Amino acid sequence: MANVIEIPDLWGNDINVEVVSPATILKVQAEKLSLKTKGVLLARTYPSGDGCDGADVTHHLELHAPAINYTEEVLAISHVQNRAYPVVIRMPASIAWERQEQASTKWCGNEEEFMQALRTALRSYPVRSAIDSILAESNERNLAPVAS
Amino acid sequence: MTRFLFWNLHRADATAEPKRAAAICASLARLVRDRGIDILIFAEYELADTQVKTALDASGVGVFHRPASRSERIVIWTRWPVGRVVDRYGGWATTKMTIRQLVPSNGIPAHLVAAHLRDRTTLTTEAGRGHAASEVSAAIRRFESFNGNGRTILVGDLNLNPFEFGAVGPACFHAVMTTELARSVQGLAARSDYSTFYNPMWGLFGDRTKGPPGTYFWRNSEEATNHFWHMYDQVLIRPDLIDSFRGVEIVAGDGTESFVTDSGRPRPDHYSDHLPLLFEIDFTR
Repeated sequence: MANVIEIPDLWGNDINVEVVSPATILKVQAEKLSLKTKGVLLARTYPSGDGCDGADVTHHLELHAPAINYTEEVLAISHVQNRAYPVVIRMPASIAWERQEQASTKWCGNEEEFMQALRTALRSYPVRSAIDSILAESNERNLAPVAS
Repeated sequence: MTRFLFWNLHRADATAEPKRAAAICASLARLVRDRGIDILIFAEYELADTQVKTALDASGVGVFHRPASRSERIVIWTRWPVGRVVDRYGGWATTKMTIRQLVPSNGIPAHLVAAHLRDRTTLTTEAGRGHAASEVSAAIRRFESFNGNGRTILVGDLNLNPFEFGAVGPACFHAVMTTELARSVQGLAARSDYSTFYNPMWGLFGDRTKGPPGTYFWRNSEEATNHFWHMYDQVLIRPDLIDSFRGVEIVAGDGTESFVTDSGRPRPDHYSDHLPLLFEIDFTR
């Protein structure tokens, strides 16, 4: 009787069949912010770069405040064309990522790392500063003057 | 007629370099007075606002202010009344630019994009600079599509020469050398998705035209492809504003002091390593 050689599963256990692209995750976050601010801020994403000559594809996250007709780009993510991961998050300034690593960019090898880093980025000082400042100015514009 | 001045000030700091900062402020006052400048746009601005305002106001041509903006890299001063240079876009993460709506008291509104793109020591390849330019131009196109207005002027230190991919590539600035091309090439199928700019800086290269041969001088003689004179500072005009555009010049001095040496090179120790641009737009057209 021949010996049965059992070949082990060499794949990791962290393969997620429901993985989604960074662009989709970013777009969902944009929609959530628009809902959260009741439309005072409209967050939106848009791509740039066509991946030609090996150039990256970039997706930008912009905040638009209709009341003051002002738009600001708060972060961007980039990856190689047809390779959603790894993805790099680009911030306007250095922020503290996990383990207190300070940088304006963060490399994320997979969806889990990207989710974690994007959570940090969206709650970071530059993004919150932009949101709060634009919201405040929009609210002041929307408020009717009150006589003292 | 509205006159603009753009100048990369090479980080002149009133505390660290008081003589250079004072010299720049004195020159700005003379330029504003003698050339009737309405809007000043600065990159690498580290001057003290009080010193700048004092100098500009002392020129006697108006009361200057720095319109509210979230832009950190680009600073604008104007003698137009408050509310006529309005912050409309702040690009932080991938672009270092601001878009302001210009609302002239007599004329049709337009948008001013002022940008300072990444330096060439960070983006060392033409492809890398082209990619950066494509991100800026995508943001501008997107802004224009939302605002339904093609009356856009782009000015800044682009860290590109007019002949580089980042300047001429359709998905980049798509900036071409003649008004005829600027009006016509977008009609070609391969370029129809990308609006053009007219780049008048092509006409200012070399010593056959009035003014310095470029806006920046790089003296590296070891680099065999170095052109020495570069045109990193540029003003680009959308076709809708070509008829309003009255001209651009590279400014070599303020009438009293020279921004260039006897051999015509910029004086970074006295003024800046870049020379300023002065351009005119007639917003009534």
